[in-house]
Amino acid sequence: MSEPNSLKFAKTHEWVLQEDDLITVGISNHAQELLGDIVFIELPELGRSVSINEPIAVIESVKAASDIYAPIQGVIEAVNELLESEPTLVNSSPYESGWLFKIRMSNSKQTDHLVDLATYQREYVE
Amino acid sequence: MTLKSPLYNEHVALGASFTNFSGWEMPLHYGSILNEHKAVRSSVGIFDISHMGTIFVSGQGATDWLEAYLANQVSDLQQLQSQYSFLLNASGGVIDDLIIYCLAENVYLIVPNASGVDSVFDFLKQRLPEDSVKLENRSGSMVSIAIQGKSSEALMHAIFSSIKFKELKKNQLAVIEGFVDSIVIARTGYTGSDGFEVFTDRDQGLQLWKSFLNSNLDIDVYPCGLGSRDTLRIEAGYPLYGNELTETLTPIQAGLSLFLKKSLKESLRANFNEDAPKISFYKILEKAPPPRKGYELFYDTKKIGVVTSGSISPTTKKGIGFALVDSNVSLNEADKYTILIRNKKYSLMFTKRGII
Repeated sequence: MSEPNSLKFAKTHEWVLQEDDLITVGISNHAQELLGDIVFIELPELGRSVSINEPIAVIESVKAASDIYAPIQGVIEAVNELLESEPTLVNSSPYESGWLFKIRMSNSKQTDHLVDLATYQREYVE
Repeated sequence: MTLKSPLYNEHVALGASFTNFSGWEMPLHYGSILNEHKAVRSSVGIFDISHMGTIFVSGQGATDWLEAYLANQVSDLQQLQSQYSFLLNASGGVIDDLIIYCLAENVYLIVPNASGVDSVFDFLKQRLPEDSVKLENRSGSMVSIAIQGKSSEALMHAIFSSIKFKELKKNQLAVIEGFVDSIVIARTGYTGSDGFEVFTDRDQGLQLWKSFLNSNLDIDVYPCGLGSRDTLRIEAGYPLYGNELTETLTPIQAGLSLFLKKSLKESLRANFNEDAPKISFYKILEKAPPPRKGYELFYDTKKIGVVTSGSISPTTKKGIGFALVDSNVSLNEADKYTILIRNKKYSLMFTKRGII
């Protein structure tokens, strides 16, 4: 699977797609491969205010539970409800139908700590 | 030191993800635990279980000698039959659970867990009589393969055409002479589906592994790892040593008194504290995160136990597993039992073991 060039990445393996002050968040293909088959996903409540690096979702594979962190500060505007019945979408389509949630940013200049694909692969993918 | 199965290179070539299990570097899965689980329920999967021990006991008096130490009735075990049993410590706790196979009169193969090989072998060695009983630990130098699933009989028939598998009943075995060493074939397993386990030397074992995967049958044969072995055994309601069986729990507490000889059952019962916690099987009744070892169980607000094993069943999609709970929990009562997962309680009930 090719990792899209248009995305930015957090070192905790979340990807971020920015459209004005709305960002969509998922986990990288590398992360879903490490986790293996995903059997349960707990997503944040709509309207919740989240801050950077706050654990706001949990992805559970057969063997382990992993926290997902908010890559930016803002308010949860949408969650991917399909994942409730089909959590393996994150395995089969981590960059498209397996997106996790959308955050409305309170400050659109706060993405400097995120890295591009090349840096993510070099620094954070073994 | 990490131990590797004689089939290790095969697993690498098949793209396995590995895990350390009791000191062994074994396949966790070959891509998807869920697909491997489903393969066993709908077709057939093969598991490398060479990490399990293989201890041979033979010679005049072997039956009587084993009878003195194993928890189940060895003399009930007929030739070419297998039996689930335990080695117990002085207080009735489980040193290990094991399968004993009677290969011929006074010839036995004992298969303990990887974690229990040393303690089982040392226990027996220290008590070995000076006369004719011979004890041989071949653990780690044999290949053991489990062939499990709906289509396992068809696959076995394709490889071992001389054996009448239709007549080989559950827990029975056949011993055939191979080129180098004999091959022990038993209708046993740890998945809850029909299946077989094969024990042989390294070279024949490697050839057999390849033959199973390239059978030319119109059946999909999947290599399966320890991940699906665990979810399959939980669905089947089988205990795992280290989780449901420990040195501090008796087989009675583990709910396995069926596998104790009468005299031992009576003496353990006589000393049994009725209030001692016991292992029970639970089903979570609503959509919930997967239950995991260590999660707490409640009756109303009172803590009544702790999870020893858990998984979301790949078959029903609901959480299931074992827990060590107060002795007075009641079965099939859905009202007030809950499991606490990340500050939220989900309702559950205790039931008979297994869901398949």
